[in-house]
Amino acid sequence: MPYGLYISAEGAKAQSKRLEVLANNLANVNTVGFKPDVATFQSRFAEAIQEGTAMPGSRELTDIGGGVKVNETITSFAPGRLQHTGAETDMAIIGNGFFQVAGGNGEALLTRAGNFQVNRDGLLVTANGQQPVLDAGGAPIELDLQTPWRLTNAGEIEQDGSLIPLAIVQPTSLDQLTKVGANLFRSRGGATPIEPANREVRSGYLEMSGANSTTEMMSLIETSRAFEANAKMIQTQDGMMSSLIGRVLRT
Amino acid sequence: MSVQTLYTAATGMEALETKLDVIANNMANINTTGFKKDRANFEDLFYRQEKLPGATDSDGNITSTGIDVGLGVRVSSMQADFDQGAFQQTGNQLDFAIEGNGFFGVQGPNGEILYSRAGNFGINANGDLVLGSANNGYLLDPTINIPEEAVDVVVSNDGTVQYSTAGSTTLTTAGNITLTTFINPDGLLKLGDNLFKETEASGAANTGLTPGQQGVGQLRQGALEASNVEPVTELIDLITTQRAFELNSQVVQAGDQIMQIVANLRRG
Repeated sequence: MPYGLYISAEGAKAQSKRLEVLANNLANVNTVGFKPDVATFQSRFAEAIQEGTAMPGSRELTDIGGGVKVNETITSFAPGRLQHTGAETDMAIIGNGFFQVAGGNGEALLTRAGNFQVNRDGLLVTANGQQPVLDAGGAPIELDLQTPWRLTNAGEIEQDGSLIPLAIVQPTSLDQLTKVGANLFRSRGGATPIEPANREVRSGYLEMSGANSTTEMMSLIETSRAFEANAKMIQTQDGMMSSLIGRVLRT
Repeated sequence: MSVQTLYTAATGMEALETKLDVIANNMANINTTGFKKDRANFEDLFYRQEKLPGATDSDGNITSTGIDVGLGVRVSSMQADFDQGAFQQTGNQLDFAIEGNGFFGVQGPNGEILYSRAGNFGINANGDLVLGSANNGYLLDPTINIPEEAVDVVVSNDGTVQYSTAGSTTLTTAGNITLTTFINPDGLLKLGDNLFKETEASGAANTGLTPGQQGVGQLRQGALEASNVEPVTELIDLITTQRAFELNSQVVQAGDQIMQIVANLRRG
């Protein structure tokens, strides 16, 4: 069978994967603190090179390239736009940093979504009520709601004269973050606290989704068309095969 | 595998529909006394890890980030916004607004205590203060009785209810309006009729508080707290929700088109 058929199939498959990634970005266009993903493609070596029977760069007939594949998905951490909400439990980080919350089995997870709530025990928790928000010492933040509290721009909760600094951390590299859903990230390489002087938090604001509907829509159109083009190639090559077989059989 | 695209986009449409419902209810209650608007919080669903970060692929490359494919979105919680609503001067002696935290307590139909921010009280046939319409309203808790001969009712900022009778300037105390607070008002259950009910999530009611003390709001006689729904914000939310819905429906179409192309690949 023509080698090109498989290359075109790989191309269509890669575009289909990209479409899934775009669908998730668009589904989360209203999700607080969401960071969109980008599917990155990489060209493949020709089959002969992968099998080791030809040398790459030899410019021979065997070095014709082997199509494309999705190499990795990269999360774009560009800041989302800030939206004023007025709710005092809403917080947005300006610039770098992540809030730290307690995930299951004792690990600390990171999030940019600051739509927190206070639960019945007075604990500051994430919007779904499941993860307690941590302070700089790694302990859950417990508020006494009989006394008024407020948030400082340095990311500290002030209540009754005492300051509880929120845990705001920065992973060594943003590449080390994996999405775990529920607006949370897991850092594989740990995270270091950001000094109170170098961070800024706004109360009454939320960082909205980083997914930009216009760019995502453009990518969607591009992906659909690229998929179509690959499908067309499959059909063309199949047509060639068909006519070849037909002609061979006639003689 | 474009089927995933269809499902992912569908989660988006479903979540946005819920948001639209919330906006519709907020808008419908734009004139409801003491109404507190709701907000739908969204969160991304889990991720399908196609390639773990740090893994070596078939070409011998070690990847730093891996392939994550997200599976959509869901509404994680519904949050009431307890921001103060605007004050509306009514001049009615039995209208009270709470300036600050706190809820009025009223007796529900089954004798349980329910809570409200609406302060449009009236007097029922027995002379007791009731929330809402005079005949079948909800009895204020603790009850306050205004005798028939009362002409003027004066309520001070701390909730003391006094009245005077015809031809007399002396004030007689009828009782005290107390307020209730909750650790987590977001956890209250909305019952309709401007009423909230205590739940496990809201924490126990902290009742019997004097208005103006211990962080509880003051009472304002002759005024009502209007709905805290802001029409501009809601309309903007409505527009963005509608557009986001449209975007997701476009994704469904794109996914569908791709499946169609695949279906047409094989010819004769």
